[in-house]
Amino acid sequence: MNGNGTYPVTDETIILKIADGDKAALSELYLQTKNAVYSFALSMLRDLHAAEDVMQETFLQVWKSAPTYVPRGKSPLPWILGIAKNLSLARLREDQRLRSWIDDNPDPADPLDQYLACENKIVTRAVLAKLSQEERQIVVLHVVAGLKHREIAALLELPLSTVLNKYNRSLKKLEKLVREQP
Amino acid sequence: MRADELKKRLTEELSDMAPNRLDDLLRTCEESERAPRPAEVQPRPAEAPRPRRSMPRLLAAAAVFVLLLGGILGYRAMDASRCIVTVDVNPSVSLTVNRFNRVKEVTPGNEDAQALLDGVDLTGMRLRSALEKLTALLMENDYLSGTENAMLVSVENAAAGRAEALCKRVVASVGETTKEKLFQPAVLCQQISGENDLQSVAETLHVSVGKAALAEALVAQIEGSSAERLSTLSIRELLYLADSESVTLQNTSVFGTVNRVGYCDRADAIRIALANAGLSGTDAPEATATPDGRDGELVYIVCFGDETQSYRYTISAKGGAVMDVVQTGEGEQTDPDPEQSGASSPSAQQPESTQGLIGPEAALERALAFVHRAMTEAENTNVELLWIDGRPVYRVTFELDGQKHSFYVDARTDDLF
Repeated sequence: MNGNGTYPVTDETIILKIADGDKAALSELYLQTKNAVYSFALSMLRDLHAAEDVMQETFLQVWKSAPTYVPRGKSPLPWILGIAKNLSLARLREDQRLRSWIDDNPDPADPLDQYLACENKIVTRAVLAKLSQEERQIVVLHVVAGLKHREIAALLELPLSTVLNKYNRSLKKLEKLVREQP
Repeated sequence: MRADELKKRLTEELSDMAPNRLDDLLRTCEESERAPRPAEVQPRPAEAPRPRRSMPRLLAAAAVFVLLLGGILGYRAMDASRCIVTVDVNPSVSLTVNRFNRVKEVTPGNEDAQALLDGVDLTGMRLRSALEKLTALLMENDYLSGTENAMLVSVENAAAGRAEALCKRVVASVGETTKEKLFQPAVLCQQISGENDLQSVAETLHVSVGKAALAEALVAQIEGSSAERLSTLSIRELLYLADSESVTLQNTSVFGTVNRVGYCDRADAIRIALANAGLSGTDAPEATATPDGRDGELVYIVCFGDETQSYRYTISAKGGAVMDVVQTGEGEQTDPDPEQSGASSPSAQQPESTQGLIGPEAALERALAFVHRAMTEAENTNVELLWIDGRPVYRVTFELDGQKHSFYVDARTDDLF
């Protein structure tokens, strides 16, 4: 995410440069898109350490798979987030979410012990704690990563109408939750 | 709050949440190999506009392939990221685990561990199950009990967050298993670096890297000792030392309390030494006691004296027995090394008769009863009758589980000291 709050702006040429072994291009891509990748991983895993690990693995995978990237004349962000999604799913399948990392917090419904960095981030806490998994992912992908609803539907393998409905419902929930904050 | 304000706030809150680990990434990229190319794909020139049409099936399949490959290779990369969890009780067992906490390799660190794991395969198990199995084996073979409840856990090659989580997992797993036997383990968890220096120290001392690391950490804060001597102590004694000396250890957490029954501390050692010398605390206010290791036992070296004479006592921390004393100055005498011949002490007065004394076997039984062990379990036993200041005393030594023990038993009263 850029410092001025706009979505990450990338074009495919950066992937082609990475495919040629250009580490400066990889660094640029990392700095531009790490927030989007991290936020998406966090929305799936709900664990800061695990999200950080998936974020790192995603960019390592981008580095390794860049030569196989098929240019489509669009932002490569959905491709990158697709890698993050697969890594997160692999993690969830093996790990049963957070149990293998934190033994003393078996209830994934309670975010307070885990989201220490979110102490003052009221909206983020609400998103991570109160929305369903799909709602979280949709909100983060649209708001943080800047994906269009159509792209989100393709990534999450959901009908477009479902994505739109869940997105609007999520915003309403969040508005209510934030209003109720002391 | 309107939807656009909400979006803006969420964007702002998440904008700085992602940590910046670019250096780690670049380092990892240098170490890794690129993914194999199924085929070279020539990029389209940027200025050639792509006609609008539905995605060809071939491109869709390629996209799916890339995503799947990314998932599989990513999983393998995660699997390749391993750390080592070493459990030291007396047997030392190292478990190499991958990022999903599955045991990939088991390495016994000494002969006891080899014997313990004979016929047992922990590889492929989840760490929790492997630890539960290992703890059960340790208890079955009396390495871990209410008396000997100490365990050292060393985590190597893991980031701080993961090391901490692994330590908690170990403590939880071990605690669940020992609960059945109604005791709580004392677990000292440390994160170590596995650097070459530590490896070579461990090899020189013939101990695990974890034990070498703990011995070095203790020596840094306890004057007068050495890692070489401290590393010969049992895990229980090392944990007891860390606890009784209030040592501050970096990257370490302690869970539970080590069993201190039968152990004396510095103040006790000073009292014992002074009493043996016929003095009281006020007679030697400057008396000092320094913990050290001697032949695998924790001892205190107690020093005190005045202008005319000085004393240097070696007191066993377990049981408080006087192991030797060196007196210099007026009436100078050295208690010869009790291991050599205690009966030649100049202060000894040998009576003519040994009637009315308990026998050597009774003295051995008395000493073994103190540590709750049977005669059949003791090895290399030795019982020697000494006369110390006219008092008949048996010096009893034996080995249990490879550890030497030494006690003094009053030959008349059967008292242990």
